[in-house]
Amino acid sequence: MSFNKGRKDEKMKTKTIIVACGGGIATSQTVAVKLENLLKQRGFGQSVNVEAININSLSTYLKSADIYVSITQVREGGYDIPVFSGIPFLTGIGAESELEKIIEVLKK
Amino acid sequence: MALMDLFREDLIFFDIEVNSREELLTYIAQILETHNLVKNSFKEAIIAREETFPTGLPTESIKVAIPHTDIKHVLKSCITICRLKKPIDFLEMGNHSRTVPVEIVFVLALDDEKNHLQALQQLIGLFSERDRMENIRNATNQDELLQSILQGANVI
Repeated sequence: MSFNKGRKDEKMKTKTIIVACGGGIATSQTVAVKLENLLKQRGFGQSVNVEAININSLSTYLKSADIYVSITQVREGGYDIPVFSGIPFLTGIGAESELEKIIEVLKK
Repeated sequence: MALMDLFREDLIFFDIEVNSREELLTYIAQILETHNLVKNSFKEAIIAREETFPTGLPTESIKVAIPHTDIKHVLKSCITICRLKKPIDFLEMGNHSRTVPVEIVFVLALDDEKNHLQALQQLIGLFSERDRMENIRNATNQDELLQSILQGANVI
């Protein structure tokens, strides 16, 4: 009984991070896997779901996602959810600090 | 498919002399088409895609770009490596108001959305490794260049 309850609580806490690029192929997939691995190393394996999506479906995903990691130009005016850059996970520059910022939001 | 299997010695080019990214992509697309690796729609698609979703990466050491386009234009997956004689400007991925002086271009022609993930992870892992990037820049032949890429390419 308590086990089930625990599971349920954990499931409810799961957060979704979406990673979008122009085609949803090469870059967003790569960044999503990299980010997922980094988050696993930091103990967020169970509580975070990282999804690579095509930018054309962005508006649909934005409704349910908690964090948006962008690899394309971000539109003016921003979004309703926190947005971070996915480029550091491709270049290696600033990846650590971008990861920290994402983790800060996940902890909330 | 492993990263190694995506490269071909006849798709590694040294000292390419071009004046623009469009000129480079036109040149490479024509070669890929001749080898029956892409459809004739690939050229226009990859050029257009590069303008809408640029792929210049402001890496720490040698700057790279990874032009690619939809899988529907590709017949057989491959990665073409172009080492440029002089850097050409690519727009920066994620920030179109900046340009990146690119020295090495990896033209990705992929026919599947999921199959190449690990290979791409390995390739991108390379970009943040200064020593291996220097080796790629200094390689004197195709074999040497491929060895630099594949050595230690298990880092994800």
